[in-house]
Amino acid sequence: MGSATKSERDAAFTAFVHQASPSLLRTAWLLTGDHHTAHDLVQAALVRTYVAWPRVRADSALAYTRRVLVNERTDRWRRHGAEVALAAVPETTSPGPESVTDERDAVVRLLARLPDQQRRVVVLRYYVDLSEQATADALNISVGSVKSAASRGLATLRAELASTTSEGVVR
Amino acid sequence: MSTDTFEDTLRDLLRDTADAAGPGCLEPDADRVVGLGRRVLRRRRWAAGLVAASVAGVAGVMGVTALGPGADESSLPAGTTSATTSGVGEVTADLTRSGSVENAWGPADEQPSVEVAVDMGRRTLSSSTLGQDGRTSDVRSATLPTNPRASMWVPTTTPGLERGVLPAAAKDVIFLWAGDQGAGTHDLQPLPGTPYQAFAVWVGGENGGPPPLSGVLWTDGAAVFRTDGSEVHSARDGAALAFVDRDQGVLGIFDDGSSSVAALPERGIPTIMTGSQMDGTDTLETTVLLVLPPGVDEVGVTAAEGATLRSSETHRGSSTQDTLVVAHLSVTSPAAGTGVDSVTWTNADGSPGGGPVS
Repeated sequence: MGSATKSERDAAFTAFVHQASPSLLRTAWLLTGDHHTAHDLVQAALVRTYVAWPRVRADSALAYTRRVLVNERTDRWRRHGAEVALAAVPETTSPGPESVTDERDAVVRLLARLPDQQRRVVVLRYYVDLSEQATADALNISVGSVKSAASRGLATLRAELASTTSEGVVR
Repeated sequence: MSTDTFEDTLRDLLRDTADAAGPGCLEPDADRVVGLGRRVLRRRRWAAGLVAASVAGVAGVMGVTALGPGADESSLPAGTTSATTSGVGEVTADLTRSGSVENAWGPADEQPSVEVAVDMGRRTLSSSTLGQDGRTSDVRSATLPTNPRASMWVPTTTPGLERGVLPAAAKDVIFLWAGDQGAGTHDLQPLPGTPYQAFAVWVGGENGGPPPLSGVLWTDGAAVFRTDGSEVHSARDGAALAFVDRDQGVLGIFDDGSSSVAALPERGIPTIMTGSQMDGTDTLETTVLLVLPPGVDEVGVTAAEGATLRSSETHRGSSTQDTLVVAHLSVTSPAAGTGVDSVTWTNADGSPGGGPVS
């Protein structure tokens, strides 16, 4: 970002935080389904962006931070360490009366069921509207992997949304 | 617009969902973000000064170099001298904790963050932590292993925190602990230009506090490797990569971004499963790994009541390696467990084998 003074850089970065946070938070929320975790993820991504700010181009700052964000790992997405056999099965909850009638809750729950990479690809391709190549670049994976993950993720969502539609969840 | 109307439907649904959720998300405080970022930068400068000082102060010390408050050299593994000059040929990564680890850790932005640095010229790994007060501590370094597929980590004085490097080829990792690690989270960051990536892992611990990290298992998508870089007996079956590691006494499955691992039992047929259950259905789709003796043939898997066997593949290794059987089942009754009731086979000497699967 040129040879700006420290205060100028901080001012530019602060303006970027205000401008980019709403978009980043929405993306993080779709990835995590949890407001608190989304806040943590966005804050962590912004801190890393601040550290790299002198090397970040103004026209690609949002893409840079989004890339950091989607590559964050959280416990919500994957389990690790010594687990008992059944521990890998995602917890399930019975949907309450409100969520049963809320298609937004339905899509967030279904996103949360997707494997980590499929979820990230679906959000980047169909919410952020990145191209396959841009999605591959953001996740540091091949275009083929993007196509595969998108296809599998879409197939799962299509089937499950159709199922929930039949139950009156999605119109 | 795409030719697939479902893609457009999904786009609209995601936008509506995200827009509706937006007001519920608390925006990060810009001043707080800048403050945390400055801490990281200060920590880098501080760590560089400490490590540079170590060249004159502790050159010739055998073992892993430990600098900073609280370092306990007596607990460090044996190795070679590892002092390094700062900044020259070093590649660094900053790792921060995100997600919720509720046992021993408070909010993510109030906990130590970690820097991991690799100097391929000097073949050193060094790491430091940044505390809430912005001070760098726990600066340690060690000599990198010669096997590029090996992983290593350096001790910390912070219970429940481990940091080090994994091969850059690792796409998924399982951390093994010498006890009940409780809830945990980890962060991986690239170390460009090196054959490594940095990791930091935080665990809460239960029943006596966090245990130490005892090993890792990682996969490049094609095979599974131990801490020392040696390959673990594994078999790919669709998206699942099943493995058994007799050396570390575990079996497990890497499965498209998720993983499961368990200790090998003293008796019975070693079994582990992964599975997923979608809302709106009572069906659990499971992938089950059964570890059978070497050289067996004619394997037959019987589904439990309330489960349907969809497929079963037998993967034989060498004459001394376990036979890995990977079965996929649909389970509609919780009483069916993994979905497998029993398994039969013919041993290499022609005798029949088999037994129930718990």
